[in-house]
Amino acid sequence: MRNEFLENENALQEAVNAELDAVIVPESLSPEQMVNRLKAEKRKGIHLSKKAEFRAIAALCASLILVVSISAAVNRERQMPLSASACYMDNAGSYHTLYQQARYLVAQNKKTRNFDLFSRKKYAIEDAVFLNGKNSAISEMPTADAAPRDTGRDVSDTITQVDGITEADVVKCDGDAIYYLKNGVLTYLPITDGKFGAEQTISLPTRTTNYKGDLYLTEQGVTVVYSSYANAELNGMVSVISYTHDENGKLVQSGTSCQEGYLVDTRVADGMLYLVSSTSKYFDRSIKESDLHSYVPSCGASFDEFVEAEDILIPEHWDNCTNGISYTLVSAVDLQTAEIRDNKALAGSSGTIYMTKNAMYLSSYDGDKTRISRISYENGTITPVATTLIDGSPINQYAMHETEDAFFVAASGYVTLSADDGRTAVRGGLQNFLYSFDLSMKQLDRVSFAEGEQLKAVNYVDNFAYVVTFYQTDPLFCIDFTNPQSLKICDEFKVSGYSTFLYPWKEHLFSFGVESDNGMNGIKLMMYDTNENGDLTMLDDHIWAYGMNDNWWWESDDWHDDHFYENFYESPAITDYKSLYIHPEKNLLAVPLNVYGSNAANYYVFMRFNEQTKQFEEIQRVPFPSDPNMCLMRCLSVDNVFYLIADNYIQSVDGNSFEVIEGKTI
Amino acid sequence: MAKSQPLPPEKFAETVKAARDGDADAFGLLYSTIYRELYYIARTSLRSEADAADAVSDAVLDAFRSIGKLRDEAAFRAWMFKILTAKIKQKQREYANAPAELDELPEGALPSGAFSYLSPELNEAMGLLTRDERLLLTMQALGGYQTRELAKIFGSTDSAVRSKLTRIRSKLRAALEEETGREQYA
Repeated sequence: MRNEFLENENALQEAVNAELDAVIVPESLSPEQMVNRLKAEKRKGIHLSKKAEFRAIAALCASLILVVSISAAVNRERQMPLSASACYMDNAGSYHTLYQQARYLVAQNKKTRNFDLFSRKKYAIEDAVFLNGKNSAISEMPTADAAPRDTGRDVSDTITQVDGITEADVVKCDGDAIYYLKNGVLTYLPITDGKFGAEQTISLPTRTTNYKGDLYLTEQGVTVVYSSYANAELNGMVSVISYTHDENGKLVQSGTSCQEGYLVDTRVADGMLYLVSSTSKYFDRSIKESDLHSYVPSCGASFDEFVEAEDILIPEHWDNCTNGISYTLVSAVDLQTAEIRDNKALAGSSGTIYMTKNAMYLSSYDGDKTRISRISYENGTITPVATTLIDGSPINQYAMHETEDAFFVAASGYVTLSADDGRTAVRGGLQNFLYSFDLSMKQLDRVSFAEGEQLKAVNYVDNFAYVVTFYQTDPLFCIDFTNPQSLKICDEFKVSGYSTFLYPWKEHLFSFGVESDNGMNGIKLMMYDTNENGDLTMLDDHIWAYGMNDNWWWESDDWHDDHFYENFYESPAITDYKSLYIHPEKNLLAVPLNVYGSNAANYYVFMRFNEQTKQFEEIQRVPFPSDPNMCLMRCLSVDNVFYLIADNYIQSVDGNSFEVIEGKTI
Repeated sequence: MAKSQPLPPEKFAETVKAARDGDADAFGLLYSTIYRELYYIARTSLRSEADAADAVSDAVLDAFRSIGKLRDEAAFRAWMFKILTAKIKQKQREYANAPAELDELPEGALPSGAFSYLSPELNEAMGLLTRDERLLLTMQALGGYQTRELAKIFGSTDSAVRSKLTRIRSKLRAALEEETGREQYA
């Protein structure tokens, strides 16, 4: 660091102002556009000083229901060129082949003046040819019996998308104990009717400040999956460690394996853990053939074991590459023993994954487009099946859905269009699509909707896709996919704010999200009624609202940020839906709420939906000890006891009285 | 591109009064004097251009709604930055609650989309500071702020801001000396 910033008081100011001169402000923030927006908002009644008037307008807007005719709303796409292809790949054959390709890339880069270490060309699976399909499968592979131990208790589980596919979480409970992963430490906390036993803590072997980790319960204990950065020169490592209980009930390590990269996601099906990580290899002139770490991804019992050459599926053409290659590593891991049963390294980096009982779908970014690859995992054998390219990208796993004979994905993004001259590619506006494919990833149909809006939440219930977009108001689209070859928008429902999570609630559709309208902000629950025609009716909404504090004056002595808003509400569930407790069968819902401002507090709020009055009802707010930085994480239930977990505190609550039984710092 | 252009003081006060009466053009004129700085501050504090644009846009809408509360016309600029910092902190709290990309990064690494200064030296210096320290130092370096204004923006007292700026500079100096020492023994 140069010391001029310290020796010369003006140097820092000059440097910052030079940066300011160079900054490019988005056109949407230009004074002209902002004035137009203010005028538009003013027409809607924004320039009112009385909070009551805000609320009146907000209520009016919230009650505005528009059912738009299908013909007007649907912009039926011309049939797009089909982009499906069988997933042909070329295995590397040998490490020497990989090394030669790496040297080739280095030589190519020497010709380029602007050598950019981080300019990546991601490979498409379809660019490669699968020659001899090793199918290294493990025909004699024992079927892992890794289902969680049955304690005979009624235990709530992590919210999952697909029945039969288990999803990971940082907190798991088997009814007799809570397993909790935080900052590289696994905590085992026995529980009995709301009382806590003596805890056991285990520091994970490679402990780092920043890491991502997940837990799965097994028949004999727990398995931990986590990312770490043991060696700064390496691209990170995902470790799988299984723990089992010894004769004294203590957890002891029973198996371990690792694979290179950062943790993308995991799923468990039939006792097998499917682990996806992404890593990149960059090459320079110092590359040596003997240094496998520099060009072969690691995977195995230790970091010095590598993916076999025949399991590395590389592009057929290397000419498009710059100076490196990104891999997605997919492994089948015995959940009980942590032993890797099969793996594949696929060219390209991975984003969101979706898994059904039939296949795993991997999405990976490819410029403005997204590649969706269908991968079979039958009997623990990982086999890429088919791939396709779509415009935009799915926002999360809930944007994807598989039926018996079709696959659907909702995607949002900027689309490259052809200009009027037919030759020039121009960047179009933000667009949203729902695609349908057959199971060989041949596109069947595509509809676009809500141009210029941002996709916020998706879920598929029965034969309908419910899709939420947001810009000014929240259109909830209902799209009928009964016939995958002819997708139909059935309804468009406009309300203020937007949903971040949609979930089926008996015959209704539950929505969790944000209220945002004319100065009123907040956390919002909504319940929709749905019928066989896809028509939507809002049954009720429940808003924890806040507005600007009329008593907050710039000139006053009350400078505290939190007082700028009155009872400022936030919920971790906006970004982490697993912190919600959703149990339609018990008619119970628990929402984590952080309240800032003069009444600062942290709660889990228990709610029910009254089917007679068709309204949400607040049952009880269970507070946590006062701590403005507390992050509420999870609500679990075992029989009739709730366990509410924050990042530093756990408390048990009686399911009838909602009285706290015991609290404990963790 | 040049910095946003200031208005003459007499016209500034007159424009604030018009904006208070709901004149969007007048508010736009005031905004035009600081919008580059607003965006720059938001961009240095948030992960993406889109988040920074949202923060500025939300701050402007909130400010337009509540400008009736601004009695001292001369305080407009600091008042706008106060609202923007509230928006920035709100967004940062969302980041903190997200099961996030940050968790996947090694210590010291920046998330994708994080702002990077053009000057490597400035990038290095700012990289030594916490988010709040970086924000305070950048605001001061943008110029024209009295300690009192910074105190209002950051919800603190004049003396606390002064001592915090002193501590930030001491922290940078200590890091510099440590680095110089390493170079000498290298």
